[in-house]
Amino acid sequence: MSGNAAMETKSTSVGTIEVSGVSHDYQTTKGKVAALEDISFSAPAGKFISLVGPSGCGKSSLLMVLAGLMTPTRGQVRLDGRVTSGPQPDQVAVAFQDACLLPWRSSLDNVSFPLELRGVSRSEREEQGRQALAKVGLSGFADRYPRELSGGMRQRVAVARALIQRPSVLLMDEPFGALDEQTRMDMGEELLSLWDEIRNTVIFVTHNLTEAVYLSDEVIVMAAGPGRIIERVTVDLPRPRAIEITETEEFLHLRNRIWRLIRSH
Amino acid sequence: MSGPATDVHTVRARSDAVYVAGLIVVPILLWEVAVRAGILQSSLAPAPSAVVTAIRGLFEDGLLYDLRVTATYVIVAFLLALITGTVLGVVLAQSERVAQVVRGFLTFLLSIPKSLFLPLFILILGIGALQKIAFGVFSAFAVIVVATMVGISTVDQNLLQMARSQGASRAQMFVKVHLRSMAPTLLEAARIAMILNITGVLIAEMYVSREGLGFLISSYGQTFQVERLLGVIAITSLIGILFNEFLRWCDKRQNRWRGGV
Ligand SMILES: Nc1ncnc2c1ncn2[C@@H]1O[C@H](COP(=O)(O)OP(=O)(O)OP(=O)(O)O)[C@@H](O)[C@H]1O
Ligand SMILES: [Mg+2]
Repeated sequence: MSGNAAMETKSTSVGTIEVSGVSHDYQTTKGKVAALEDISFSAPAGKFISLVGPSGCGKSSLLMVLAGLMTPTRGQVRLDGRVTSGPQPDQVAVAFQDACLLPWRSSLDNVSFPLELRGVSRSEREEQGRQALAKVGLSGFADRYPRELSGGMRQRVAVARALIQRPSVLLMDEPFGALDEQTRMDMGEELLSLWDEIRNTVIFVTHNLTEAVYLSDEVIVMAAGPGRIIERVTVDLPRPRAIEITETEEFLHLRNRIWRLIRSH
Repeated sequence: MSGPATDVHTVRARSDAVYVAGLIVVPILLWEVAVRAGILQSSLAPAPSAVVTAIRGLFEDGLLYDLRVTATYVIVAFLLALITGTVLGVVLAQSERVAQVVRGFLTFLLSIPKSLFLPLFILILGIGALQKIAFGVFSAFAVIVVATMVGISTVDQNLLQMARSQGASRAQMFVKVHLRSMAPTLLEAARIAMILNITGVLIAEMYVSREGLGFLISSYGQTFQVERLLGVIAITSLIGILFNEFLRWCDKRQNRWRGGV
């Protein structure tokens, strides 16, 4: 596949993230809100890492910093050893919380939007766009507008749009947040099989601990007020993972441990 | 693609069109009959058939020239108002404070009848083309500025952030996100602006000029040439309606993604 070829031309260390001493205060009319305090961690290339924690603990804020969409008050982010500022569209792709599709564009034109911005020709865009839609199981929906799709389909379009950028780092903010448990796990399974082919670095924000453990190599547990990391839990379950793994004792043990960590803070 | 819902709409639109046509054709026929039966006085309300004959005469006497004069004023004024209005709206919308103050001011301006200022325009700009165009721009300008500012403030910030994360340049963001999400608002504003603009140009022509549709209307009115007067009115109305329908058609094409009907 052309996607893999593109990935292989890059060195194996591509997609390494190092976050050091990142703090962020939002300025509001009522004064400062400390959203992130002294966040440091590193994500080796090709790892799937989840961020979990209670609402308001700064998961989205951290993701925005990683995406280069927000400059932190203090600290820095390194990508492959280089300090970054601003978005890095050639390496980092973001799948936003609420899909963020352009409502006046069909699925196909939404998916190929990043290519259009780079000046890729129409025929090339269309071909890659159709491929990306096929990967997320939406081949038959290329001509549909966002409002003609279900919430889950919209999120799949957003994932396809992120994948078309062939990012070495994929940032996802609760991409399956609006879905029921069943569909959510189905999507998780699909995402894993896609990721098995690409093996880029993924930072995945979620509230759902089963999803976090099922998908990840590592789960970063955060606490609120101010937003900080309280523990990094390694998930050493074998891959590829079938959905049945969620019922094994090892899995439940990990999941419960993370749940207790969140509860104790 | 046309699902069953679209079919229902097409059928309904078609029957609506029949009603509208009926509303125009039936009174005209009644009018014709009334004049021929001597119920209506033909010197004040000439028969539609007489108006049609008058229109033919108008074309023979060089109506196309006046049509061209007015159309030029209208189009130039419209484009100027559209471009400068949009640009100014975009610039003003950059600062929240400025936007608020200007919006208040423009709302005042919108509520004043523009024709009050016509004598002033004549004093400053004379009675030539410049004055007609300037008055057309003046009539339509504020609507576009306000619509642009409102449009910009309603652009979804999340979409902008999405575009930014994918490396969109400022120009790309403006064209592919801002302009596109503002398109429905801008089209509607353009429709209203065009009506105001045509009104402005016609009033300016009726007030003082030697050519143009507005001039014809006022001179035929003053000389009691009612058939010709009605002829010019009919043609002017037709142009206005056609333009309006064109913009409405542009707007309708957005219904699919917007989900409106
Ligand atoms: N634009 C903003 N202005 C001011 N405060 C903000 C802003 N965005 C977020 N915050 C605050 O920063 C903190 C972290 O917010 P953030 O959205 O990052 O949390 P989160 O972990 O993503 O929450 P959730 O799980 O509910 O999405 C919260 O206290 C929130 O109120
Ligand atoms: Mg969030």
